[in-house]
Amino acid sequence: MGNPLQEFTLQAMDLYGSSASKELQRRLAEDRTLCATHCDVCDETTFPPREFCPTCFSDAVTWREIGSGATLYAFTTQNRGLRFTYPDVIGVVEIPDVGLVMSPIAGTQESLTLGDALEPEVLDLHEGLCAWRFRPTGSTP
Amino acid sequence: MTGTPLAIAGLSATPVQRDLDTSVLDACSTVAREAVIDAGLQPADIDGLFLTPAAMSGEPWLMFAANFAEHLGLTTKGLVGVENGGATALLALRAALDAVALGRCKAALVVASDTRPMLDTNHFESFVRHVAFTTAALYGGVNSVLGHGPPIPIYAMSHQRYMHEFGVNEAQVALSSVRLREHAAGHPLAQFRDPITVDDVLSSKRLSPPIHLLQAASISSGAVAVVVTTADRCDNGRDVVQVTGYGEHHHPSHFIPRRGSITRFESVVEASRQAYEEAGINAEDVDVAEVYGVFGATELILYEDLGFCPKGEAAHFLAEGRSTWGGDVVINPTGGRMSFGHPAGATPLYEVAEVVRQLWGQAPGRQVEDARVGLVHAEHGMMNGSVVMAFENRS
Repeated sequence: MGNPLQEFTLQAMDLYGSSASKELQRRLAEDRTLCATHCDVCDETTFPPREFCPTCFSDAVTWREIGSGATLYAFTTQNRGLRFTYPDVIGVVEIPDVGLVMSPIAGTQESLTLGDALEPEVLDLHEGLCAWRFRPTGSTP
Repeated sequence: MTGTPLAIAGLSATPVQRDLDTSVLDACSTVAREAVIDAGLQPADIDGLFLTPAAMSGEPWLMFAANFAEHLGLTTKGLVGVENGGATALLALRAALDAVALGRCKAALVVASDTRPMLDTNHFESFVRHVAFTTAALYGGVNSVLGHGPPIPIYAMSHQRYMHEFGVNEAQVALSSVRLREHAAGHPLAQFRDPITVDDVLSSKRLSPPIHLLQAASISSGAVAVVVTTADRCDNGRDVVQVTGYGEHHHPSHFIPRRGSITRFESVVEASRQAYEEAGINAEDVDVAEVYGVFGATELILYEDLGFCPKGEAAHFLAEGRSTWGGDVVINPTGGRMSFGHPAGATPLYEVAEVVRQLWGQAPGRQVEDARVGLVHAEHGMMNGSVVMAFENRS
Protein backbone atom coordinates (compact mmCIF):
# COMPACT_ATOMS: atom_id res chain seq x y z
CA MET A 1 0.00 0.00 0.00
CA GLY A 2 1.44 3.37 -1.05
CA ASN A 3 -0.03 5.89 1.33
CA PRO A 4 -2.47 4.26 3.77
CA LEU A 5 -3.97 7.56 4.92
CA GLN A 6 -4.70 8.60 1.34
CA GLU A 7 -6.13 5.26 0.30
CA PHE A 8 -8.24 4.66 3.41
CA THR A 9 -9.56 8.22 3.38
CA LEU A 10 -10.62 7.87 -0.27
CA GLN A 11 -12.28 4.52 0.49
CA ALA A 12 -14.05 5.93 3.54
CA MET A 13 -15.25 9.05 1.73
CA ASP A 14 -16.54 6.86 -1.07
CA LEU A 15 -18.39 4.64 1.41
CA TYR A 16 -19.84 7.41 3.58
CA GLY A 17 -20.19 10.14 0.96
CA SER A 18 -22.87 11.14 -1.54
CA SER A 19 -22.84 12.06 -5.21
CA ALA A 20 -22.65 15.70 -4.08
CA SER A 21 -19.64 15.12 -1.82
CA LYS A 22 -17.86 13.50 -4.77
CA GLU A 23 -18.74 16.43 -7.03
CA LEU A 24 -17.44 18.81 -4.35
CA GLN A 25 -14.12 16.94 -4.43
CA ARG A 26 -14.02 17.10 -8.23
CA ARG A 27 -14.61 20.85 -8.18
CA LEU A 28 -11.93 21.38 -5.55
CA ALA A 29 -9.40 19.31 -7.48
CA GLU A 30 -10.14 20.32 -11.08
CA ASP A 31 -11.80 23.75 -10.89
CA ARG A 32 -9.92 24.85 -7.74
CA THR A 33 -13.14 26.26 -6.28
CA LEU A 34 -15.09 25.76 -3.05
CA CYS A 35 -18.74 25.34 -3.97
CA ALA A 36 -22.15 24.88 -2.37
CA THR A 37 -25.44 23.95 -3.99
CA HIS A 38 -28.10 26.61 -4.52
CA CYS A 39 -31.80 25.84 -4.85
CA ASP A 40 -33.38 27.44 -7.90
CA VAL A 41 -36.82 27.08 -6.31
CA CYS A 42 -36.45 28.44 -2.77
CA ASP A 43 -33.17 30.36 -3.15
CA GLU A 44 -31.46 28.53 -0.25
CA THR A 45 -27.72 27.86 -0.44
CA THR A 46 -26.58 24.64 1.24
CA PHE A 47 -23.23 23.46 2.57
CA PRO A 48 -22.27 20.65 2.70
CA PRO A 49 -23.68 20.50 -0.83
CA ARG A 50 -26.55 18.17 -1.65
CA GLU A 51 -27.94 16.69 -4.84
CA PHE A 52 -31.29 18.16 -3.73
CA CYS A 53 -32.48 21.08 -1.62
CA PRO A 54 -32.97 20.07 2.05
CA THR A 55 -35.37 22.99 2.52
CA CYS A 56 -37.92 22.19 -0.22
CA PHE A 57 -36.68 18.78 -1.55
CA SER A 58 -36.45 20.13 -5.09
CA ASP A 59 -33.68 18.63 -7.21
CA ALA A 60 -33.39 21.87 -9.18
CA VAL A 61 -30.05 22.82 -7.63
CA THR A 62 -27.07 24.49 -9.21
CA TRP A 63 -23.48 24.65 -8.00
CA ARG A 64 -22.27 28.04 -6.85
CA GLU A 65 -18.84 29.18 -5.69
CA ILE A 66 -18.83 30.39 -2.07
CA GLY A 67 -16.47 32.14 0.29
CA SER A 68 -16.79 35.79 -0.63
CA GLY A 69 -17.19 38.03 2.42
CA ALA A 70 -16.27 35.27 4.86
CA THR A 71 -15.25 36.14 8.42
CA LEU A 72 -13.71 34.12 11.25
CA TYR A 73 -16.45 33.06 13.67
CA ALA A 74 -14.45 30.73 15.97
CA PHE A 75 -11.12 28.92 15.94
CA THR A 76 -8.95 26.53 17.91
CA THR A 77 -6.14 24.00 17.58
CA GLN A 78 -5.91 20.38 18.53
CA ASN A 79 -3.05 18.35 19.89
CA ARG A 80 -3.67 15.22 17.86
CA GLY A 81 -5.63 14.68 14.68
CA LEU A 82 -5.56 12.60 11.58
CA ARG A 83 -4.45 15.48 9.36
CA PHE A 84 -4.45 18.59 11.47
CA THR A 85 -2.18 18.49 14.48
CA TYR A 86 -0.76 21.28 16.61
CA PRO A 87 -0.19 24.09 15.71
CA ASP A 88 -2.61 23.88 12.76
CA VAL A 89 -5.81 25.86 13.28
CA ILE A 90 -9.32 24.64 12.65
CA GLY A 91 -12.19 27.08 12.70
CA VAL A 92 -15.74 28.02 11.90
CA VAL A 93 -16.20 30.52 9.11
CA GLU A 94 -19.32 32.65 8.68
CA ILE A 95 -20.16 33.05 5.00
CA PRO A 96 -22.92 35.47 3.89
CA ASP A 97 -25.98 33.64 2.48
CA VAL A 98 -24.49 30.28 3.51
CA GLY A 99 -24.00 30.34 7.28
CA LEU A 100 -21.42 28.60 9.47
CA VAL A 101 -18.91 26.28 7.80
CA MET A 102 -16.05 24.37 9.42
CA SER A 103 -12.67 24.87 7.84
CA PRO A 104 -8.96 24.74 8.46
CA ILE A 105 -7.61 28.28 8.86
CA ALA A 106 -4.21 29.52 7.67
CA GLY A 107 -2.46 31.20 10.58
CA THR A 108 -1.75 30.53 14.21
CA GLN A 109 -3.81 30.65 17.37
CA GLU A 110 -1.94 33.83 18.30
CA SER A 111 -2.16 35.60 14.92
CA LEU A 112 -5.91 35.22 14.39
CA THR A 113 -8.78 37.29 15.81
CA LEU A 114 -12.51 36.68 15.80
CA GLY A 115 -14.06 38.62 12.95
CA ASP A 116 -10.99 38.51 10.69
CA ALA A 117 -11.87 38.80 6.97
CA LEU A 118 -11.08 35.54 5.17
CA GLU A 119 -10.85 34.13 1.67
CA PRO A 120 -10.98 30.49 0.55
CA GLU A 121 -8.23 28.42 -1.00
CA VAL A 122 -7.83 24.80 -2.05
CA LEU A 123 -5.48 22.41 -0.26
CA ASP A 124 -4.06 19.37 -2.04
CA LEU A 125 -3.89 16.62 0.56
CA HIS A 126 -3.01 13.70 -1.68
CA GLU A 127 -3.49 12.80 -5.31
CA GLY A 128 -7.25 12.77 -5.84
CA LEU A 129 -8.02 14.29 -2.46
CA CYS A 130 -8.46 17.96 -1.64
CA ALA A 131 -9.73 20.07 1.22
CA TRP A 132 -10.68 23.72 1.51
CA ARG A 133 -9.04 26.24 3.80
CA PHE A 134 -9.62 29.89 4.59
CA ARG A 135 -6.87 32.42 5.06
CA PRO A 136 -6.87 36.06 6.22
CA THR A 137 -7.71 38.24 3.23
CA GLY A 138 -4.60 39.57 1.57
CA SER A 139 -2.21 37.17 3.34
CA THR A 140 0.27 35.26 1.23
CA PRO A 141 -0.66 31.66 0.30
CA MET B 1 -47.60 12.60 30.64
CA THR B 2 -51.13 11.63 29.72
CA GLY B 3 -52.55 8.12 30.07
CA THR B 4 -51.49 5.46 32.54
CA PRO B 5 -48.77 6.73 34.92
CA LEU B 6 -45.40 5.14 34.18
CA ALA B 7 -42.63 4.62 36.69
CA ILE B 8 -39.05 3.44 37.13
CA ALA B 9 -39.48 0.26 39.18
CA GLY B 10 -35.87 -0.86 39.60
CA LEU B 11 -32.31 -0.13 38.56
CA SER B 12 -28.69 -1.20 38.82
CA ALA B 13 -25.37 0.21 37.60
CA THR B 14 -21.69 -0.71 37.59
CA PRO B 15 -19.12 1.82 38.79
CA VAL B 16 -17.90 4.05 35.96
CA GLN B 17 -14.24 3.37 35.27
CA ARG B 18 -11.62 3.24 32.55
CA ASP B 19 -12.38 -0.36 31.65
CA LEU B 20 -15.00 -2.83 32.80
CA ASP B 21 -13.94 -5.49 35.31
CA THR B 22 -15.74 -8.10 33.22
CA SER B 23 -16.80 -8.65 29.62
CA VAL B 24 -19.52 -6.36 28.27
CA LEU B 25 -21.91 -9.31 28.20
CA ASP B 26 -21.26 -10.11 31.87
CA ALA B 27 -21.61 -6.46 32.89
CA CYS B 28 -24.90 -6.08 30.99
CA SER B 29 -26.39 -9.30 32.31
CA THR B 30 -25.37 -8.45 35.90
CA VAL B 31 -27.05 -5.03 35.89
CA ALA B 32 -30.06 -6.44 34.00
CA ARG B 33 -30.66 -9.18 36.57
CA GLU B 34 -30.07 -6.82 39.49
CA ALA B 35 -32.50 -4.24 38.08
CA VAL B 36 -35.25 -6.85 37.74
CA ILE B 37 -34.64 -8.09 41.29
CA ASP B 38 -34.53 -4.45 42.50
CA ALA B 39 -37.96 -3.94 40.92
CA GLY B 40 -39.33 -6.89 42.86
CA LEU B 41 -40.17 -8.67 39.60
CA GLN B 42 -39.44 -12.09 38.16
CA PRO B 43 -37.79 -12.68 34.77
CA ALA B 44 -41.13 -13.86 33.39
CA ASP B 45 -42.63 -10.45 34.26
CA ILE B 46 -40.31 -8.73 31.77
CA ASP B 47 -41.85 -8.69 28.30
CA GLY B 48 -39.81 -5.92 26.66
CA LEU B 49 -36.04 -5.50 26.22
CA PHE B 50 -34.61 -2.21 24.93
CA LEU B 51 -30.88 -1.84 24.37
CA THR B 52 -28.14 0.48 23.28
CA PRO B 53 -25.52 -1.11 21.04
CA ALA B 54 -23.24 -3.23 23.25
CA ALA B 55 -20.29 -1.02 24.19
CA MET B 56 -21.47 1.68 21.80
CA SER B 57 -18.08 3.33 21.30
CA GLY B 58 -16.23 0.01 21.33
CA GLU B 59 -16.15 -2.87 18.93
CA PRO B 60 -19.21 -3.58 16.76
CA TRP B 61 -21.52 -6.35 17.92
CA LEU B 62 -24.06 -7.57 15.39
CA MET B 63 -27.61 -8.27 16.53
CA PHE B 64 -26.80 -7.50 20.14
CA ALA B 65 -30.48 -7.31 21.10
CA ALA B 66 -31.05 -10.85 19.91
CA ASN B 67 -27.78 -12.08 21.39
CA PHE B 68 -28.55 -10.54 24.75
CA ALA B 69 -32.18 -11.70 24.93
CA GLU B 70 -30.98 -15.23 24.28
CA HIS B 71 -28.28 -14.89 26.93
CA LEU B 72 -30.75 -13.61 29.53
CA GLY B 73 -33.34 -16.18 28.50
CA LEU B 74 -36.10 -13.61 28.12
CA THR B 75 -39.22 -14.08 26.02
CA THR B 76 -40.43 -10.63 24.94
CA LYS B 77 -43.02 -8.82 22.89
CA GLY B 78 -40.59 -5.99 22.26
CA LEU B 79 -36.88 -6.41 21.44
CA VAL B 80 -35.25 -3.23 20.18
CA GLY B 81 -31.75 -1.80 19.68
CA VAL B 82 -31.45 2.00 19.53
CA GLU B 83 -28.57 4.26 18.47
CA ASN B 84 -28.23 8.01 18.14
CA GLY B 85 -24.97 9.21 19.69
CA GLY B 86 -25.08 10.57 23.21
CA ALA B 87 -28.88 10.53 23.33
CA THR B 88 -28.94 6.78 22.69
CA ALA B 89 -29.73 5.44 26.17
CA LEU B 90 -32.47 7.98 26.83
CA LEU B 91 -34.03 7.17 23.45
CA ALA B 92 -33.94 3.48 24.39
CA LEU B 93 -35.75 4.38 27.61
CA ARG B 94 -38.27 6.41 25.62
CA ALA B 95 -38.91 3.43 23.34
CA ALA B 96 -39.55 1.29 26.43
CA LEU B 97 -41.89 3.91 27.92
CA ASP B 98 -43.80 4.09 24.65
CA ALA B 99 -44.19 0.31 24.56
CA VAL B 100 -45.54 0.20 28.11
CA ALA B 101 -47.76 3.25 27.57
CA LEU B 102 -49.29 1.64 24.48
CA GLY B 103 -49.92 -1.56 26.40
CA ARG B 104 -47.66 -3.59 24.10
CA CYS B 105 -45.45 -4.47 27.08
CA LYS B 106 -46.24 -4.69 30.79
CA ALA B 107 -42.69 -4.32 32.12
CA ALA B 108 -39.69 -3.36 30.01
CA LEU B 109 -36.00 -3.69 30.78
CA VAL B 110 -33.60 -1.06 29.39
CA VAL B 111 -29.87 -1.85 29.34
CA ALA B 112 -27.12 0.54 28.24
CA SER B 113 -23.37 0.02 28.09
CA ASP B 114 -20.19 1.49 26.71
CA THR B 115 -16.44 0.83 26.62
CA ARG B 116 -13.42 2.47 25.09
CA PRO B 117 -12.56 1.58 21.48
CA MET B 118 -9.74 -0.93 21.05
CA LEU B 119 -7.26 0.87 18.79
CA ASP B 120 -4.66 -1.33 17.15
CA THR B 121 -1.71 1.02 17.58
CA ASN B 122 0.80 -1.77 16.99
CA HIS B 123 -0.18 -2.09 13.34
CA PHE B 124 0.04 1.20 11.49
CA GLU B 125 -2.20 0.40 8.55
CA SER B 126 -4.90 -1.09 10.74
CA PHE B 127 -4.81 1.96 13.00
CA VAL B 128 -4.99 4.43 10.11
CA ARG B 129 -7.85 2.52 8.53
CA HIS B 130 -9.81 2.54 11.79
CA VAL B 131 -9.31 6.28 12.28
CA ALA B 132 -10.07 7.18 8.64
CA PHE B 133 -13.26 5.12 8.57
CA THR B 134 -14.59 6.17 11.98
CA THR B 135 -13.89 9.83 11.15
CA ALA B 136 -15.83 9.55 7.89
CA ALA B 137 -18.58 7.57 9.60
CA LEU B 138 -18.97 10.27 12.26
CA TYR B 139 -18.63 13.44 10.19
CA GLY B 140 -19.72 12.28 6.71
CA GLY B 141 -18.14 12.36 3.29
CA VAL B 142 -17.57 16.14 3.17
CA ASN B 143 -16.27 17.26 6.57
CA SER B 144 -14.27 14.09 7.26
CA VAL B 145 -11.61 15.38 4.87
CA LEU B 146 -10.82 18.05 7.47
CA GLY B 147 -9.26 15.29 9.53
CA HIS B 148 -10.27 16.36 13.02
CA GLY B 149 -10.76 13.40 15.33
CA PRO B 150 -12.98 13.45 18.43
CA PRO B 151 -15.21 16.54 18.53
CA ILE B 152 -13.12 18.39 21.14
CA PRO B 153 -12.22 21.28 18.76
CA ILE B 154 -15.90 21.74 17.94
CA TYR B 155 -16.83 22.16 21.60
CA ALA B 156 -13.73 24.34 22.08
CA MET B 157 -15.09 26.79 19.53
CA SER B 158 -18.44 26.88 21.34
CA HIS B 159 -16.46 27.58 24.54
CA GLN B 160 -14.52 30.39 22.83
CA ARG B 161 -17.70 32.00 21.45
CA TYR B 162 -19.47 31.67 24.81
CA MET B 163 -16.70 33.59 26.58
CA HIS B 164 -16.62 36.15 23.75
CA GLU B 165 -20.37 36.76 23.59
CA PHE B 166 -21.10 36.83 27.31
CA GLY B 167 -17.90 38.29 28.79
CA VAL B 168 -17.05 35.14 30.76
CA ASN B 169 -13.41 34.39 31.58
CA GLU B 170 -11.52 31.08 31.67
CA ALA B 171 -11.44 30.87 35.47
CA GLN B 172 -15.22 31.28 35.67
CA VAL B 173 -15.71 28.37 33.29
CA ALA B 174 -13.07 26.30 35.10
CA LEU B 175 -15.09 26.55 38.31
CA SER B 176 -17.65 24.19 36.77
CA SER B 177 -15.01 21.40 36.81
CA VAL B 178 -14.19 22.13 40.44
CA ARG B 179 -17.82 22.11 41.52
CA LEU B 180 -18.54 18.85 39.72
CA ARG B 181 -15.48 17.23 41.27
CA GLU B 182 -16.84 18.22 44.69
CA HIS B 183 -20.05 16.42 43.77
CA ALA B 184 -18.25 13.31 42.51
CA ALA B 185 -16.25 13.06 45.75
CA GLY B 186 -19.35 11.74 47.51
CA HIS B 187 -20.58 9.37 44.82
CA PRO B 188 -19.69 5.69 45.13
CA LEU B 189 -19.87 5.04 41.36
CA ALA B 190 -17.87 8.08 40.20
CA GLN B 191 -14.60 7.66 38.32
CA PHE B 192 -12.76 10.85 39.37
CA ARG B 193 -13.11 11.89 43.04
CA ASP B 194 -9.87 13.63 44.08
CA PRO B 195 -10.38 17.35 44.82
CA ILE B 196 -9.20 19.87 42.21
CA THR B 197 -8.85 23.66 42.12
CA VAL B 198 -9.36 26.25 39.39
CA ASP B 199 -5.57 26.46 39.11
CA ASP B 200 -5.41 22.68 38.62
CA VAL B 201 -7.95 22.95 35.81
CA LEU B 202 -6.22 25.81 34.03
CA SER B 203 -2.76 24.25 34.38
CA SER B 204 -3.88 20.84 33.12
CA LYS B 205 -2.95 19.93 29.55
CA ARG B 206 -4.58 22.14 26.95
CA LEU B 207 -6.45 19.89 24.51
CA SER B 208 -8.02 22.49 22.22
CA PRO B 209 -7.90 26.05 23.48
CA PRO B 210 -9.66 27.14 25.58
CA ILE B 211 -10.46 23.54 26.71
CA HIS B 212 -8.08 21.91 29.20
CA LEU B 213 -7.95 18.22 30.09
CA LEU B 214 -9.87 18.73 33.36
CA GLN B 215 -12.66 20.41 31.38
CA ALA B 216 -13.29 17.39 29.18
CA ALA B 217 -15.39 14.29 29.80
CA SER B 218 -13.42 11.06 29.87
CA ILE B 219 -13.93 8.10 27.59
CA SER B 220 -15.13 5.58 30.14
CA SER B 221 -16.77 2.20 30.53
CA GLY B 222 -19.91 1.15 32.36
CA ALA B 223 -23.24 -0.66 32.22
CA VAL B 224 -26.59 0.33 33.69
CA ALA B 225 -30.13 -1.03 33.59
CA VAL B 226 -33.58 0.21 34.59
CA VAL B 227 -37.01 -1.41 34.64
CA VAL B 228 -40.02 0.53 33.38
CA THR B 229 -43.60 -0.40 34.17
CA THR B 230 -46.92 1.17 35.10
CA ALA B 231 -46.98 2.95 38.44
CA ASP B 232 -49.59 0.55 39.81
CA ARG B 233 -47.21 -2.39 39.31
CA CYS B 234 -44.49 -0.83 41.51
CA ASP B 235 -44.97 -2.80 44.69
CA ASN B 236 -41.57 -3.09 46.32
CA GLY B 237 -42.07 -0.86 49.36
CA ARG B 238 -40.41 2.23 47.89
CA ASP B 239 -41.99 5.52 46.89
CA VAL B 240 -43.15 5.49 43.27
CA VAL B 241 -41.13 7.73 40.95
CA GLN B 242 -43.15 8.51 37.86
CA VAL B 243 -42.04 9.75 34.47
CA THR B 244 -44.14 12.91 34.23
CA GLY B 245 -42.78 14.79 31.23
CA TYR B 246 -40.92 14.19 28.01
CA GLY B 247 -39.41 16.45 25.37
CA GLU B 248 -37.35 15.79 22.26
CA HIS B 249 -36.10 18.18 19.61
CA HIS B 250 -33.61 17.70 16.79
CA HIS B 251 -32.19 20.65 14.86
CA PRO B 252 -31.37 19.68 11.25
CA SER B 253 -27.62 19.83 11.81
CA HIS B 254 -24.72 17.61 12.88
CA PHE B 255 -22.10 19.29 15.11
CA ILE B 256 -21.64 22.83 13.68
CA PRO B 257 -25.11 24.09 12.66
CA ARG B 258 -24.96 25.97 9.37
CA ARG B 259 -27.96 27.99 10.52
CA GLY B 260 -27.97 28.28 14.28
CA SER B 261 -26.00 29.14 17.37
CA ILE B 262 -23.13 27.35 19.12
CA THR B 263 -23.72 29.23 22.38
CA ARG B 264 -27.48 28.75 22.71
CA PHE B 265 -28.76 25.31 21.81
CA GLU B 266 -32.22 25.29 20.29
CA SER B 267 -32.65 21.58 20.96
CA VAL B 268 -32.10 22.04 24.71
CA VAL B 269 -34.46 24.99 24.96
CA GLU B 270 -37.21 23.30 22.97
CA ALA B 271 -36.92 19.77 24.44
CA SER B 272 -36.97 21.13 28.00
CA ARG B 273 -39.92 23.40 27.18
CA GLN B 274 -41.85 20.35 26.00
CA ALA B 275 -40.91 18.31 29.07
CA TYR B 276 -41.80 21.10 31.53
CA GLU B 277 -45.14 21.64 29.79
CA GLU B 278 -46.02 17.95 29.81
CA ALA B 279 -45.05 17.60 33.48
CA GLY B 280 -46.88 20.80 34.41
CA ILE B 281 -43.75 22.27 36.00
CA ASN B 282 -41.21 25.05 35.46
CA ALA B 283 -37.43 24.94 35.78
CA GLU B 284 -37.67 26.43 39.27
CA ASP B 285 -39.68 23.40 40.41
CA VAL B 286 -36.77 21.02 39.72
CA ASP B 287 -34.95 19.81 42.85
CA VAL B 288 -32.29 17.66 41.20
CA ALA B 289 -31.04 17.41 37.61
CA GLU B 290 -28.53 15.39 35.65
CA VAL B 291 -27.39 17.11 32.46
CA TYR B 292 -25.12 16.10 29.59
CA GLY B 293 -22.35 18.68 29.99
CA VAL B 294 -19.37 17.00 28.39
CA PHE B 295 -17.12 20.08 28.47
CA GLY B 296 -16.79 23.09 30.79
CA ALA B 297 -18.65 25.77 28.88
CA THR B 298 -21.23 23.24 27.69
CA GLU B 299 -22.13 22.60 31.31
CA LEU B 300 -22.80 26.31 31.84
CA ILE B 301 -24.74 26.74 28.59
CA LEU B 302 -27.00 23.86 29.62
CA TYR B 303 -27.87 25.55 32.95
CA GLU B 304 -29.09 28.51 30.91
CA ASP B 305 -30.84 26.69 28.10
CA LEU B 306 -32.65 24.37 30.54
CA GLY B 307 -33.98 27.53 32.23
CA PHE B 308 -32.20 27.28 35.59
CA CYS B 309 -30.76 30.79 35.14
CA PRO B 310 -30.92 33.62 32.55
CA LYS B 311 -28.77 33.52 29.39
CA GLY B 312 -25.17 34.49 30.08
CA GLU B 313 -25.60 34.18 33.86
CA ALA B 314 -24.54 30.58 34.48
CA ALA B 315 -21.05 31.45 35.73
CA HIS B 316 -22.56 33.66 38.45
CA PHE B 317 -25.25 31.05 39.17
CA LEU B 318 -22.51 28.48 39.68
CA ALA B 319 -20.20 30.75 41.72
CA GLU B 320 -23.09 31.70 44.05
CA GLY B 321 -23.63 28.04 44.93
CA ARG B 322 -27.05 27.87 43.34
CA SER B 323 -26.34 24.60 41.47
CA THR B 324 -25.30 22.57 44.51
CA TRP B 325 -26.71 21.44 47.87
CA GLY B 326 -28.34 24.41 49.61
CA GLY B 327 -28.88 26.23 46.30
CA ASP B 328 -31.77 26.45 43.83
CA VAL B 329 -31.29 22.99 42.31
CA VAL B 330 -28.61 20.32 42.64
CA ILE B 331 -27.23 19.85 39.14
CA ASN B 332 -25.20 16.73 38.48
CA PRO B 333 -24.91 15.27 42.00
CA THR B 334 -22.99 12.40 40.36
CA GLY B 335 -20.18 14.79 39.39
CA GLY B 336 -21.47 15.18 35.86
CA ARG B 337 -19.80 13.94 32.73
CA MET B 338 -16.44 15.54 33.60
CA SER B 339 -16.00 13.84 37.00
CA PHE B 340 -18.52 11.00 37.21
CA GLY B 341 -16.96 9.63 34.02
CA HIS B 342 -18.56 9.34 30.63
CA PRO B 343 -19.43 5.99 29.06
CA ALA B 344 -21.35 7.90 26.36
CA GLY B 345 -23.68 5.12 25.27
CA ALA B 346 -24.75 4.52 28.87
CA THR B 347 -24.46 8.01 30.37
CA PRO B 348 -28.13 9.06 30.06
CA LEU B 349 -29.31 5.95 31.88
CA TYR B 350 -26.77 6.66 34.67
CA GLU B 351 -28.34 10.11 34.86
CA VAL B 352 -31.79 8.54 35.19
CA ALA B 353 -30.54 6.14 37.85
CA GLU B 354 -29.18 9.01 39.95
CA VAL B 355 -32.29 11.17 39.67
CA VAL B 356 -34.55 8.24 40.52
CA ARG B 357 -32.40 7.28 43.51
CA GLN B 358 -32.59 10.88 44.71
CA LEU B 359 -36.39 10.91 44.34
CA TRP B 360 -36.63 7.56 46.15
CA GLY B 361 -34.66 9.17 48.97
CA GLN B 362 -31.97 6.53 48.54
CA ALA B 363 -28.85 8.61 47.89
CA PRO B 364 -26.97 8.39 51.20
CA GLY B 365 -24.27 11.00 51.71
CA ARG B 366 -25.50 13.09 48.80
CA GLN B 367 -29.26 13.11 49.28
CA VAL B 368 -31.01 16.24 48.03
CA GLU B 369 -33.33 17.15 50.88
CA ASP B 370 -37.04 16.66 50.16
CA ALA B 371 -36.33 15.97 46.48
CA ARG B 372 -39.64 15.54 44.67
CA VAL B 373 -38.99 16.67 41.07
CA GLY B 374 -36.07 15.60 38.90
CA LEU B 375 -34.87 16.29 35.37
CA VAL B 376 -32.59 14.39 32.99
CA HIS B 377 -31.06 15.76 29.77
CA ALA B 378 -29.11 13.99 27.03
CA GLU B 379 -28.00 15.06 23.58
CA HIS B 380 -26.26 14.05 20.37
CA GLY B 381 -23.61 15.79 18.25
CA MET B 382 -23.02 19.17 19.85
CA MET B 383 -26.53 19.62 21.26
CA ASN B 384 -27.93 19.23 17.73
CA GLY B 385 -30.62 17.08 19.29
CA SER B 386 -31.77 16.83 22.89
CA VAL B 387 -33.97 14.57 24.97
CA VAL B 388 -35.34 15.77 28.30
CA MET B 389 -37.27 13.68 30.80
CA ALA B 390 -39.02 14.87 33.96
CA PHE B 391 -39.58 12.64 37.00
CA GLU B 392 -41.60 13.14 40.13
CA ASN B 393 -42.16 11.37 43.42
CA ARG B 394 -45.93 11.62 43.72
CA SER B 395 -46.25 9.11 46.57
